[in-house]
Amino acid sequence: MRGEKFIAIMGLCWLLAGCNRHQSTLAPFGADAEAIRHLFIVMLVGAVGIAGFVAWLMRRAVRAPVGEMTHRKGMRLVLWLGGIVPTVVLLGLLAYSLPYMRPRPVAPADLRIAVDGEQFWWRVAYRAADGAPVLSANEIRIPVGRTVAFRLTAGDVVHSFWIPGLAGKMDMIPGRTNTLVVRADRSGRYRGQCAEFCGLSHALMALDVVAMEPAAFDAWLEGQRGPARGAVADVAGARLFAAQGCGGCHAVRGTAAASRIGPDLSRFGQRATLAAGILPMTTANVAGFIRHPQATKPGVRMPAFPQLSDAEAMAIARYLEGLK
Amino acid sequence: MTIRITWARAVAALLGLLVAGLLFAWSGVMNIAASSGHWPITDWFLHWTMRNSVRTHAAFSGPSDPADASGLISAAGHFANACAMCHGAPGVKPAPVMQAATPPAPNLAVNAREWTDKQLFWILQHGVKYTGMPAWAVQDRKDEVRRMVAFVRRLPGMTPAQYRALVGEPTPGTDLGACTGCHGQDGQGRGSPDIPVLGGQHPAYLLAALQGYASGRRSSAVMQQVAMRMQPAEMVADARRFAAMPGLGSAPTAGGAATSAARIVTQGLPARQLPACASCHAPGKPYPVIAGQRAAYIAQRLRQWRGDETVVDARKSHATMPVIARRIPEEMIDPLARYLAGSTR
Repeated sequence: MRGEKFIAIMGLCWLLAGCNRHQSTLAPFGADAEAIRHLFIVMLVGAVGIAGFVAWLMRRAVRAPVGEMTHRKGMRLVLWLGGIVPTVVLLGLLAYSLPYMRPRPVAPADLRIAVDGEQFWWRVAYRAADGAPVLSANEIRIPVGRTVAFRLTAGDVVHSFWIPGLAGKMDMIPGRTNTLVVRADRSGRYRGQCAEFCGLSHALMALDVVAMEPAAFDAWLEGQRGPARGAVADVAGARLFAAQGCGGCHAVRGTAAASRIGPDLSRFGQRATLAAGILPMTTANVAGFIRHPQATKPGVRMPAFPQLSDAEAMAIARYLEGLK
Repeated sequence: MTIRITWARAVAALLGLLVAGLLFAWSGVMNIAASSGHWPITDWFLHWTMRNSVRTHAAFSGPSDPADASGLISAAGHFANACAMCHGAPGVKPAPVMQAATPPAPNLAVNAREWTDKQLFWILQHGVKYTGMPAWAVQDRKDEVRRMVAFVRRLPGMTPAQYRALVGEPTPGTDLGACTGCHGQDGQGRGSPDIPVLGGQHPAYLLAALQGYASGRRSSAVMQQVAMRMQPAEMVADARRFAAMPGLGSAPTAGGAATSAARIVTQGLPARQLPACASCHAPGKPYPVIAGQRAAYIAQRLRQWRGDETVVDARKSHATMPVIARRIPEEMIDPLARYLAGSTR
């Protein structure tokens, strides 16, 4: 008996995985996720109360002696508990929850971030009210306390944009632009995830989210403009990057590489993770990914480069890590 | 006396036969000497079985276009390298050593008439068990097999002079790896659409190709047969010699600059995630020179990389060119190859 209990408790341990502050609806850092959590708790408490009441009622009914209640009294009970009370409760809940569905208002001056879902990464473009868009990938930075409008599209198949700690899910649909307006309330580093099956590596399509203090964010965004810096961190790597044709798909601002097929690598070294939130950003990981991306992300659109030697791949990785 | 057949007796008789057969095999009395040949009835039975098998399998599996007569030179070269030893060729007797096999390889100048193109394709692709006829050395180069089918089809009636003209003469003294028979003394491929121009190519690429063929990393029965016999020093020398010849590198025709093929070369097709050819195939980059290459060769390589359309991409090679080749629209392969080849080829 003790053993069974132990196994039952251990079997529920996976629930603890929900107790993280990086990717959890129950650990919100944004106003919308906070509302979702509030609604969830209200619903949960109400549902537990109603379930308890129904259980109590059933227990009483089962134990009551035959003939305790007249037929007329019974019919009145059915009318009230089966018709009137549920209608009133559900209408009340509807009235209570409808205001939550009102979209957050967005002003023309608010920051707009275009996020485009691709197999299996995120194309990100910051469009401030003034200035040219700033391109990035797989990491989104947002200012705390300001309204941000995400313009969500998809390049190939349906994806879904979900940062559980910030707001609810929003589908990304090819040929259509969905808007998700959010406001972060607490700074920190968080995680998002594609929430619509999109191919072999759907589960490996994550997203880093950094909520920053407004002043720090403005400085950061300003720093994103202009050509990539630190491009000479590894001269041999820079030369290999150009010679091996990486610029056929990737862009590094300020160099000949300007293609928009794959992720923009201009500030690659600033990101904390590689391959859309899958691997820690280390030189060896980057080099390994360049040579055999399929080994990390099955179905990835990037071709493998097995013709590169270890030393060449490491040189390119060092160059990329130097782009900040 | 009558013997009644019962189930038990029938089973016992079958088991007895099985044991007797095993005993016969175990004893070693069976003579497997090639020198003694087959009894006529055994010979007839084995050939009858083989013909039936080829007929049936070829009917259900062969391609609809089993012969390709556009590249007889490389097929003849491979025939001289790999097949003539056993089968002989016009003006060339088979090696007596090989003719002492049981069964001896047939004279194709006679025998080829007995088979349809589809059946020849099946035999060349898969080989024949118990006869010494090997399968094609790589299974994913049907284009090579199709060229060989066309060549074998022409063997009846081919004169020794015609055969020698197809095979070509190796240059004495300088041709270390017997390359010029197919690739020509000028590295231009003797005008054959399936043989690439080698002149003007990067020597490092030619060397890597030879090493790839020799190790089997790059798939070709024809080239493997040659490359596997070359010494490392020969490979280096031949790669350098051919690379130094004039040939590739001429810029595509300016007149085609506005075509969609030209756009793929210079800009790619971003909507299909197809990078520009020129992002890798450009002067100063370590990738092979393709400007001025033969159009048919480029198209064949691209189609080879694309692979079988009925197999999902996830099960195919993810190396650089297979992935890129799969993103080129099928209808653009030939125009693209023609554009890269330029007006000269």
